[in-house]
Amino acid sequence: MKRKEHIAKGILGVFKQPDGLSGAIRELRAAGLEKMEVFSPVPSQEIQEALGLKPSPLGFATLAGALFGLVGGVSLAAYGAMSYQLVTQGKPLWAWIPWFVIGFECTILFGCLANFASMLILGGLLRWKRSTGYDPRFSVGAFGVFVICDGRELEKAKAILRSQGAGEIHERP
Amino acid sequence: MNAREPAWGTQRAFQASLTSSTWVRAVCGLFAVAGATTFVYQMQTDPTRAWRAYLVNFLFFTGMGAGGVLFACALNMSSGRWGRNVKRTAEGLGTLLPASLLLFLFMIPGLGQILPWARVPYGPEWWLDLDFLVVRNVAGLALLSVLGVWVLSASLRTDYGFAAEHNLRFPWGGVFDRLLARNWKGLAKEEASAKKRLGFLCPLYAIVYALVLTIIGVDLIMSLKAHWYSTLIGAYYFVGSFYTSLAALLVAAIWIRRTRGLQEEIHSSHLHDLAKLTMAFGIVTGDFFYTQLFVIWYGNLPFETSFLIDRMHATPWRTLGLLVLFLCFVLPLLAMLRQDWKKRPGPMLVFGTAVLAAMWMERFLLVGPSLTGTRDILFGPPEALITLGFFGLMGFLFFSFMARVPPVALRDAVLDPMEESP
Amino acid sequence: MRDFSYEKVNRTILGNLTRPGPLYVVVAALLACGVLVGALCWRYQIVTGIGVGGQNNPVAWGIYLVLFVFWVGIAHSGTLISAILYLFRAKFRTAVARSAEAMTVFAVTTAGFFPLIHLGRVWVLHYMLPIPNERQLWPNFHSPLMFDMVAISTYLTVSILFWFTGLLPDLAAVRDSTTGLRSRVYGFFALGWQNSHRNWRHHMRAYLFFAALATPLVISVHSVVSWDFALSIIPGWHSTIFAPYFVAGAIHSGLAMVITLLIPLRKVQRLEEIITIDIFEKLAKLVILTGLIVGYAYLFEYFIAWYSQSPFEIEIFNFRATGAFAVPFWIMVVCNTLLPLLFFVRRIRRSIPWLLGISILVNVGMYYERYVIIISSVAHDFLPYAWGRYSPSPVEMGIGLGAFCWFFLLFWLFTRFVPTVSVAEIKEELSKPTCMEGL
Repeated sequence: MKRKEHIAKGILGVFKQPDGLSGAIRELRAAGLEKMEVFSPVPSQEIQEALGLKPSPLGFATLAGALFGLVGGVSLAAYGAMSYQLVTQGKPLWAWIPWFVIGFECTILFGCLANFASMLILGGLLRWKRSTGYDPRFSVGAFGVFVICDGRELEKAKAILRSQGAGEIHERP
Repeated sequence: MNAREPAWGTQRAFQASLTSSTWVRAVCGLFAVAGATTFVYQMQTDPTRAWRAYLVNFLFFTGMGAGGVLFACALNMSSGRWGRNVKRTAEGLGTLLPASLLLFLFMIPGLGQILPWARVPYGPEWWLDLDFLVVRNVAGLALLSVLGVWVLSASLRTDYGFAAEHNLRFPWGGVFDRLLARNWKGLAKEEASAKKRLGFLCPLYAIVYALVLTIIGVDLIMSLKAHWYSTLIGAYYFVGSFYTSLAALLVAAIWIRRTRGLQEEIHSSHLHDLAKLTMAFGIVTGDFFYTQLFVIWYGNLPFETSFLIDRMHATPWRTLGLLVLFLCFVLPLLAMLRQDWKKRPGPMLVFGTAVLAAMWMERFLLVGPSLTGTRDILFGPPEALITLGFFGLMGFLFFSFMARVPPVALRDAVLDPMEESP
Repeated sequence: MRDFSYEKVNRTILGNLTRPGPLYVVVAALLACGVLVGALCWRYQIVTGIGVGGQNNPVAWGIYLVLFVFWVGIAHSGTLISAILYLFRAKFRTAVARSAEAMTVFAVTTAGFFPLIHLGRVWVLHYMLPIPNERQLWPNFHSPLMFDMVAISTYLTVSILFWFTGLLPDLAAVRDSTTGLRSRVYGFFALGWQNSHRNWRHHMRAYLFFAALATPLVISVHSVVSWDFALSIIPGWHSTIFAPYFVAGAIHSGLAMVITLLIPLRKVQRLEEIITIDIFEKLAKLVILTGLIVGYAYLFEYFIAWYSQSPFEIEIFNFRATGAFAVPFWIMVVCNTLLPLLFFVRRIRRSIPWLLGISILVNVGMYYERYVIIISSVAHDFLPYAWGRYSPSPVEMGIGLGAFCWFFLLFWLFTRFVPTVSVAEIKEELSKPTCMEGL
């Protein structure tokens, strides 16, 4: 499902320190301005909490991948042993003990592949077009809140950001 | 908890924290007596079974005690501040060590019946010699006990002096008074010297732990089966023992927390971390179990495989083997899946107890077929009561210790940040 | 480092990604020449036959396998540092994790060549893949060699993914601080990372799961490699302790290689304030631990050989210590178990020359350990009639040289084109975020 590319319109507030940031996010959400993107140079549990976000659910995908790998790996080894039933090294055909190794490695492999893929998909990566609110300083040391809003909400957003100590306020695009 | 002020500001509050747990100790004492009586009775009817039960419990509880002190040492060596409040409980498990030495001395008369080479000698005769075995095991256990008690006393001394400086007195009085706080030079100096002493003792203890438990593994597990050997037996025994002691620590910490009202000091985050560590070592022990099994199974060399066949193909033991495999090694993996289980004391108590039971069965599985053959498991009331007896003895020692010392260290020389100089 | 601002962190670390100077190019060219020598030797071997590598009866596995185990071993401590120490919340890991992981990725790729090289008929490599075919055969998944294939390819994939996941924020930082083609290339690899809360939310969790999955992988991969030997029956190889023994040895050599690589790196890239001497001290303590484990394994294997009273076991262990392999054996014992004990002395483990010297010697010792274990057992197994001799051939040495140069070339390129310290993680460590100077 291809997303329609559209230019988001809103207010960008740039913060020197992350102190006012959580407050700004909470106030904006309280004022009904829910749609926003928060930029930070480091991962921050406070920002996630201020946004009311629970930890990422990608663990389920990882678990699914791992289980697929376990079943798949053991099945592969079992199928290989059973399809041409040659007794090698005097070992029984149906040998759980060595198959466990293959299953284990495939568990890790597919768990990690699922982990990576779900991070890319859920995290909104693989989209090289930068968000309107992005500023290169966010990868250095600045924090930012880009509030996606229009019309009268613009002034409301500006006021909240200013009150919480935003160093700069820009209207984007 | 503020490290500078003791948590219990007044003498009375301090005393209140030192619950005497009389009834717990009485029950433990009762168990111990029951176990001893059963053992004596069983010696008349079937001595091999009696010694088998004794040996399994000896292996289980010695490992548990030694591993407890190892955990404390590991925290010291890695400056693991997360575990500060459970360190005292781990040290408490170390009270089992001197008891292990005594229990080994009591086992000496039975060694002739347990060890196949004592009846029919086979080489290497220099090593497989009863006198030398006794000497090396007694020396090893004695060394381990001395080092363990030394680590404990270094930790207690700081607490004792700190308490004395704040006018709180331990109820132990008399000879321990004099021993523990002899030549107290003031907190700053004592902490520095404790840090130095523990910085030397803890690595030494860890090395001695590995070597002594290896010797026990060689003599009391490996040599039970004639002509069988495995280079992993020592490591398997001491890693499994550490896993056992972590599970015991988890259970003990939850117990102490609940009965002393220490929900703030032994926080759910401590339980979470301890649970994760236990599960991690469960996986490591499982890995060791698997690698020993795999190499022997794959090589298919007759002198080795008889060990596995007794435990994997003989019907009564086979079921036990599968049960042990599931409870010991698969259960931690399953328990790891849910985050919130690891933070709540209820599920973790169940988990810890299950692991302890499973590791006991694992020791039983290691030793059992070699001693009493594979036709029957022969587990009945005698084994259960003797186990209860050992548990009672160890519980009595542990709770006596924890009744007389602060369950959470007042001042930890290694893990607490240094007092800032003015 | 405590008083660094975020901007200073970026400047210090990303400031090293400058245009390569003439010295850099010369070193890269020399290393590439080494790789070329290896490639030419391999071509010669493919054209002439595997026998030019010195493999014959009874020693069918020579230096190629020694180097394979050597490089896989080195890879392991990178994952230990980045994954296991992350789970243990060891703060000292942050400054060295990126380089250590890079070392892992490069070491695994280097190691991955060797099964192909000593395969002989490398053009039928596809026989090892579980794909439907008309040969009426599936790969034998009961064989440790197949475990190896699955394990090494898993390890390579997971290491690359883990390393790359950690790199994403830093690649975005380079994209933002450069212009033109460089910015576009880094931007491509940054996969559109924007430091947004959405990116971070899933990244944090994915990173944790990578660490949690990589941890058992570390242990299992080198256990699988050890089972290449332990699942045989020859004395000296068939030993149940091999799995933990090899894992500990792998971490031992890997930690030594991390120290060896980081000492010049921090000097050249002026990262002394970030990669501090305290970190090296902690790594040195870990080296003591792994050295003791390896020493325990040596001692206990000797004890059990004697305890077993098996003439074959006693013979091989005597042969290793006193026979044709005596010199490598004693180098191995001294370098792996005795030298690291020097790190008990605080002055030594905080001294750069000592750290560098001991870490290099530990790697030499670990190389000889693999040499002694692998070759002595095969050369000297059950029947005296089957005993044989082996010495490395020029082709093997050429390929070995090529492999070393390949690893160091990759690492050399890494130091100039990829941030060698994790910028985002360092910033996380800083106690008080003072972000932009003069915003």
